[in-house]
Amino acid sequence: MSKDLLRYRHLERRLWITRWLHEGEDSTQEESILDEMEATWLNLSESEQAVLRTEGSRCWPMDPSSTPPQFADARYVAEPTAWAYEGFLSPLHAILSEGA
Amino acid sequence: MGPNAQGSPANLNQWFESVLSLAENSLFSIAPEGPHRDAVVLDALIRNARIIHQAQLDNDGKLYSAVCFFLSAACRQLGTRLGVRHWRSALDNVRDLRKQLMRLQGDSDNVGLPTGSPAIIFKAEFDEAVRQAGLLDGTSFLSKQDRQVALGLAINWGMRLLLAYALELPLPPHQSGRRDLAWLAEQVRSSVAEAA
Repeated sequence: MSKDLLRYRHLERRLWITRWLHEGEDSTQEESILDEMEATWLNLSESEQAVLRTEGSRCWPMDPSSTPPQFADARYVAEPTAWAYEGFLSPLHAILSEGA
Repeated sequence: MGPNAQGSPANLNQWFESVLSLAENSLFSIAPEGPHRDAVVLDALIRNARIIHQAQLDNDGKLYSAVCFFLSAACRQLGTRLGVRHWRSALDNVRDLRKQLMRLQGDSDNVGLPTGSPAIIFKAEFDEAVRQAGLLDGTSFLSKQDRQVALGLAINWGMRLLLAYALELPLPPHQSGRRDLAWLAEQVRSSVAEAA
């Protein structure tokens, strides 16, 4: 899978969550992601573009006929980081830091 | 269907606002606003994701609070609120899948392959989304942005799981003025009946 296709897939997922968070309504974030997708699309090979065309948009559930985002490529860009407590290591650390 | 008719998405949205408010003022309020509260929310998110993942679907409504608190924590984690359109698409999805599975019952029996109820199917999707989000064992192959996408998907599957679960529970008709699981079940039943 090319870097550009990975990038495109990543943008597809960002587009999905942006649309979902805005209940399917237009937003400025969506516009900027679409611009970036358009630029990335131009760098894709013809066969990659052909595959993407057959899939259609990933706008479920706001558009019930479309599909949800997928993570099939995600292992290629693996970042083995867990959900992190922002600012401290654990709830215990939080309690101790508050009491200090 | 009017905006506040039985089984309307607006009703479900209003109900979930009460759930969010309760979670915010009880479960999450043990720590002050800021990073401490964020940690409490993350803990509630992880704890409830694991409870649901490890549980079997039951007939007693035991999953109701875990799913509600998961949805509350997940919305807070993503910095979003659910809207009427989110509930409408969830209700439509549950209703359509139920109809589809009922149509396929004969085919399913014919080949001896049970497809499971909508609640079973939505729970399987939910379980996979929380696994991908890294909420089960603390690790994920996804980047931070992609984990948020997985969490968004888990919210979607969780809403559908909750509605299908309520619909399939053998609950008596709701009578009290409370907006509890029996009320939720009645809302979903009304929506299904309305569309039939």
